Amino acid sequence: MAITAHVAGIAATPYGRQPGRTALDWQAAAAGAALADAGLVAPDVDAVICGYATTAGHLMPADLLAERIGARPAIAHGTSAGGATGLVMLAQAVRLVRAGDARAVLVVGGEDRRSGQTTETSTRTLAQVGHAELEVPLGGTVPAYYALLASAHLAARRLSPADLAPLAVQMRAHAATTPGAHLTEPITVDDVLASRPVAEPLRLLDCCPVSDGGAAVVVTAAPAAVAVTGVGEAHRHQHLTEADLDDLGARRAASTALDRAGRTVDDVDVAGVYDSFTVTLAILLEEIGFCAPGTAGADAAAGRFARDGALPLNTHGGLLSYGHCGVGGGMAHLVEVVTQLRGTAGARQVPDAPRVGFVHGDGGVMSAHASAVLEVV
Amino acid sequence: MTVTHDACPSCGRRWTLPRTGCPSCGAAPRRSVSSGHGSVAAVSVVHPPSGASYVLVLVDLDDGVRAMGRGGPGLAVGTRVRAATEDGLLTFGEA
Repeated sequence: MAITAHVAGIAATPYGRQPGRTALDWQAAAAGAALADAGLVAPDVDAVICGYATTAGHLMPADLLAERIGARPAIAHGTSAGGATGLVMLAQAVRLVRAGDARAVLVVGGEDRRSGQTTETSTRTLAQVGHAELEVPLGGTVPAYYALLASAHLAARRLSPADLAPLAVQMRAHAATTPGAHLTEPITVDDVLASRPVAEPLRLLDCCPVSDGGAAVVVTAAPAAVAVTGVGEAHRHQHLTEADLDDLGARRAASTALDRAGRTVDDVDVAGVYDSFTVTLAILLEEIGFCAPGTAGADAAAGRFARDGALPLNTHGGLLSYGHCGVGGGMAHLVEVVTQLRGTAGARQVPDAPRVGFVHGDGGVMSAHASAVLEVV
Repeated sequence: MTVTHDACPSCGRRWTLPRTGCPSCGAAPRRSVSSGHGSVAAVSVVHPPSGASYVLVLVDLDDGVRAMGRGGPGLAVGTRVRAATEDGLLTFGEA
């Protein structure tokens, strides 16, 4: 009989500028909280998968974490797929459980990305997702690569930066009522357009902050309230120069996950989609098929992504406002969607008991894509 | 600075960054030299935390491949450009 994978434990720490903890400290804090949520202790875990931390650069982060928390798993390895790492690890955990090779998999990301290094070091490290000889020496940085994507996206759809700004405004509105969010002060479209240019057409409020924090989930064969009914990945390029802007991989990853679950985008009640920049979210929503081409910002402005909208999206505030601590950044979307499906989101609970959730992560420059469908059992 | 790209001798596919195999058919590619002429596909003025701002562009070359470079002044999506070398960096200026 086929084994179903469940998400039995979830945890996200507060995100923000929180000096004093190392990457391993954040990972251990998140891991402990997720295990407690699952009603397990570390020795119960038979697989540990841990994401990279740029501030640590350790050769074997999963073994390091396992020892720290008192786990002695049969399977342990690190994972590196940029911002998609969290959902790539989830997908791997689901495969291990489905195959019968593990019954309880701990998946963890955490980093002192804000406080553990200078902004210059962080920018230089992240820029290495660009080509070492033909992109980085030109002055390529992650904001610059996404700014080029934004330039092409806006030109192809005859839009202006004001058409992306409502996505930042909605994420901030979500974060205002989320405990632990990095940025909570309300903003307007005018605030976004008046903020400092980072890499035009992207301005400061089009960009996520850099945070400290961690997130973890426990994937089990044992029943839990939420099952993972489909996962999918796509890896079409590494560098922006080689990207097919009409087929970045998001649709492929999402289709694999949705097909496996027997679902379509229309079935999704609550979603968490990677939003490192406003344009990231616009491109992903449109390529996956949640929005018609060129309409993601207009949908945000119309309230479609609000808690009581047709597609509640990143209801914790996303990377843009809950914050981005590296691998944990994209995992907070997963934690939030599971929280909503459990019906335990409190003041920010999506109404009408959502039953089908969808999450998507993007790594590099739209290089690595991972999606998952989560459903109330 | 010459702009180079790969071409697949088997299926004809072309791309920019060096690969050891064609992503369509797997054949070993040959390196070719581009004319360096094309149209701007994307443009950004980058403002680093310290130092002067600069322009980055993606250019769709007439050879059917895309390249990243620095950009000269006054470029917009669709502007016709040609490749040159400025300060040792591949730079596209208005043709």
